[in-house]
Parts: sequence; structure tokens; C-alpha cells
Amino acid sequence: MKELSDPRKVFGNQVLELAKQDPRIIAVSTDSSGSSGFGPFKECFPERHLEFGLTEQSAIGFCAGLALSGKIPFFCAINPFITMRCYEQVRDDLAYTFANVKIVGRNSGLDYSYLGYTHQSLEDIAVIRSLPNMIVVAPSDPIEMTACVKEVAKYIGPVYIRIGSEKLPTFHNSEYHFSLGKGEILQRGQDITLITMGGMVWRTLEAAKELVKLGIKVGVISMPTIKPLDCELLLQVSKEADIILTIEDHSIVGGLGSAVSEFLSQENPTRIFRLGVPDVISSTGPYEEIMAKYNLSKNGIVNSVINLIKKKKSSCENE
Amino acid sequence: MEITDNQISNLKQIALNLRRNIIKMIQSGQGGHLGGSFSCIEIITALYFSVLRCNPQDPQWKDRDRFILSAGHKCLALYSVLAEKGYFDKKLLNTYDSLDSPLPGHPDRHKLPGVEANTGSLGHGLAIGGGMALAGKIDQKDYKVYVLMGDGEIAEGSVWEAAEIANHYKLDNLIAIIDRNKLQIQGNTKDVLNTEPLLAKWNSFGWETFEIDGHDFVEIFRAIKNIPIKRDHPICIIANTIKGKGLSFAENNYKYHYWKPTDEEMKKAFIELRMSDL
Repeated sequence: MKELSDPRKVFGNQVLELAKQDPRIIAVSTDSSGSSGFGPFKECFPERHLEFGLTEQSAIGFCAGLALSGKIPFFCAINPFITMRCYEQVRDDLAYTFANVKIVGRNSGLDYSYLGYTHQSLEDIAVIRSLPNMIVVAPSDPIEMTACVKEVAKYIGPVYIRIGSEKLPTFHNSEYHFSLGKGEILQRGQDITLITMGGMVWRTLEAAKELVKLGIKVGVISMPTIKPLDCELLLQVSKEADIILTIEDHSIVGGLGSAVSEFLSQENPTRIFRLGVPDVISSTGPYEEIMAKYNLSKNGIVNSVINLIKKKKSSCENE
Repeated sequence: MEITDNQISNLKQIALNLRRNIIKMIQSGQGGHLGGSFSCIEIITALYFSVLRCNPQDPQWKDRDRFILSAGHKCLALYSVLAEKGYFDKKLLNTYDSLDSPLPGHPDRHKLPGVEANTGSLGHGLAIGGGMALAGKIDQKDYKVYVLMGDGEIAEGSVWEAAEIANHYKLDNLIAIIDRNKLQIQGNTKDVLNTEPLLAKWNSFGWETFEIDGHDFVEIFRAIKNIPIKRDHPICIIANTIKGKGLSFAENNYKYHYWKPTDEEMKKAFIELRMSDL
């Protein structure tokens, strides 16, 4: 778990690897190819890298037209600009059209901690997962990123990949198999199950180690595909755990926690708590300090779980 | 290349048929976007019956020319021409606007052969068509992409983003046609939001631009058949048209942008388009 990798580079390198095999794959950027991980791609295939400048709305439309003519565009940009500025183009030109375009929001969540609300992306999952036909994925480590990009390229249809810029440790082994729509049990425990995604998974695993030391039986589930949800796994988990806590670097409105709650409230009502960025205009400043402020640091997760367990105990005692 | 008198009279008959189809669709659907569908009829007729390289038996033919109706609300004109061209059985026109019809109020490429893009929200078509034109350049294909927009529509900022990209990538296989009927839902385009001067604007964006009478087959034919005018430049044809052209009471009247016909109006339309004898 020691070596750290920039998820954007892992992503861009994998797109390049696939492009070597598949001439339909093209890389698209809007004035940020370098920080979208497309540097090596550009060098290797300059004619298959399309730069559209600061035109996110029309860049999505161009991607749709390219896809309708047989290309497979991977368009990567700063998250809010590729999910929200051009939302209607994503809705009509990709989801409704069912265009084979892969949009990749980078520096997701609070990664642009200093740059403030305009650059932080806290509502992207909420808005994109509400679109029919869209697949939403958030890979958690370099191995999952590589496997996920391969699967996304194979899948015919529009996909949204959410990636960060904060460096990630590797915790999967090379045997790991990724399937779209499948979650993963990383750890079992019946007191509480933590369900998380993307760059929050390794933090949650670190927190879980501390919690186990404290005698709390904690389960950890990774949900790299937020849409479609792995309903089978969720049902199974909801039957095994007393409490579920969802953890995400996204608003608590509409994200992973909401998706899990929507499903389980109908299929197997369970006590679900959501840890994420509250429904406020987010803070600016050093990344780890903001994460700590919203209880998304390792200690924040540990304390949130302890409080929930305490609450559960006292409500049991009162019964 | 000039168009012959014979070709002109042929195209005029087709244009009349397209208008008649539209009246019948509006009758069965009890309403529709008449004004813009009628203003672009000659353009669409000329494209499908003398310009576009297409094959109704193979709508997905890779080398076909593409036509994108960016102003998706003018779908009646598109449905009418696709039926006339033989993309689907004309009987389907009677289903316009019925539950889950393949001919909804805006075109859906999944439902009807020959529809290239799911348009409706304005300002999307030029970018989608641009992407198709760019793919053609990458693959060294010689097909052309035609995108029809309204003059109200080009107030959308996304149109100008697409115009910049097309110029940057030298898409001389992309042809924007502006159906400039000078009216939109709320009235005169120049009063709602003045999008003029069109010619100077498109020229300044690097597009080879010229103006024609959008109801005159000689001018339409001359403009489109001479493409590309200038290598490496996308082309913009500003077609001056009359909204509601062909129905005396609807011509130049913004109230017929969307038409819910009264019985009396429908009778008039039948008489003016000589439909009672059909």
C-alpha cells in the first residue's frame, strides 16, 4: 500500500494502451490535456488527440457526433465543467442519444480544496446518475482504475468515470477482476458496514483497521459502480449488518448514500447513515483539513462510527 | 452547374407534397410547429432530392451525407421528406404525436430511420454535426454534413462554440444552413434578441458565408452544389425565408410558430394547398 499513484496518470496511460489496440479510441480535452493524464497519449497519437479549448458544451456535442460516426471518445476535464456546465448536452447528446462517449470528471470531490466551490465537485454523482442510460463509476485504486477503463471501453454506451487527483495507494492485487455493476466485499463485520467508493475506499480501510482494534466488527464494501448499483450485494449486506454508513467525498444529497438509501428503503429497510459533505457551500483551504472538517479523514470516519455504535447501544439499553 | 426547368418543376411538386403531408400530420396530431416547418421546405426538398448522397434502404450507410435538423421543432418537415424519400411507409405519418409514436414532437433517431440526431433543445445540432464532419476528416471520407438551424436558435452560445471548433479544425465538409425567417415564438427575432448581422458574424468566425433566397430552387441549388467554395473553411448559408410560407394566413405571422388549427383554418389550408382532390 506504500507506493502512491496519480489516478489521472493511471487513467490516461490505460486509455493510451487501449488506443494502441483500437483505432476508434480518441482522447478529447478542453485546454487541460496535461492535467487530464493525456500527455503520453498526445505524444504517441497527436492526430487522435482532439483539443477543443474552453468549449465544454460543444465539446460534448462533438464527442456525440464522433461517436455516432464510429469513434470512441474519452473526454476528460475538471469535474464540474464536464458534468454540470454541459449537463444538458450530456443529457440529450449522450444519455438520450445513447452515444458511445466516455466522460471523465477529474479532481473530483474536494480535490481542488484551495480553489473553492466552483472547482469542487459535490453534486456530480447526483446529477449524472439521475440520467437514464448513464453508467456511473468511481474506481478506488490504480489496479481498479486500469481494469475499469478497460471495461468501460468495451461497453457500448455513455459512461461517466469519476476520478480524483489525490494520489492513491494500491490495495487490490493483480488478480483482481472488475465488472461493471458489481460491488466488492473488502471486509466483513456485523456491527456496522461501511459502503464507499473511489478515493474514499483506502481511507475507509485505514479507519476500519483502527475500529477493529477497538473491538468493533466493521464491514467494508467498495462500490466502484454507483449506477447501476449492485443490488444483490446491498441486499445481502443489509441482512448481515445492524447499521450501514455510506462514506463519500460528495454531497450527502443525491450521491452514493442517497442511491443506497433509495434502494434499501424499499427492498429491505435498514438503518442507514450518510457521511459526506453536508448540504452547504463547501470550505476552502488545505485538503486534509477540509476532509477532517467534514469527518472524511481517517479519524473523522473512526469517530463517526464510534458515535453511531454508542448511539445504537444507548438506544438498545433504553428499549 | 445549373438546375434545369424540368428539375425545378419536379422539386416544386415535391415541396407541395411535403407541405400537404405536414397539414395532414397536424390534422391527426391536432397541432404542430407549422411556421418553421414550412419556411424550410424548399431547402429540405432540394437537399434530399438533389444534393444529399443517401440511401433510404441503408440509412446507416457509412459514406452517406448527414443532415442534422438542429431546430428539432421543425421535425414535421423532416418526417415529411423522409417519408417522401422512402425511408419508411407514409402511413406512419398518421401516427404523429400519438402515444409512443416513432414521430414525436421532436425527432428521435432510435425511433425512425433517417433521423441522425436527437434534437429539440436548440443549439445542439451544429456541434453534433461538427463531430460527424470531424470524424469524416479523420477517416478521410468525402461525405458532407448539413446542419439546419433557425435564426432565433443562433442566439444560443453553444452554436458559437461549435462555430469556433469547426473553423479551428477547417471543417470544409460542414455546412450550416440558417433558416432565417426573422421570427421566433415571441415575435420578430430582432426584437426578441437581435442576432444580426449574421453575415458579418459568421464571416468573422472564419466561415465562408453567403446569403440566398431560401425558397428559390435556382439559388439553393447554386449555393449547395458549389460546395466547398473555399478549401479549409466551413460554410454557412443564410437562407432568407418566410415563416409559414405556402399558407396565406400563416405567412410571416409568428402566431403560427406552433399551430393548433381551428376547423375553419384547416379547411382553408386544404383549399390553398389543393388538397380536397387528394
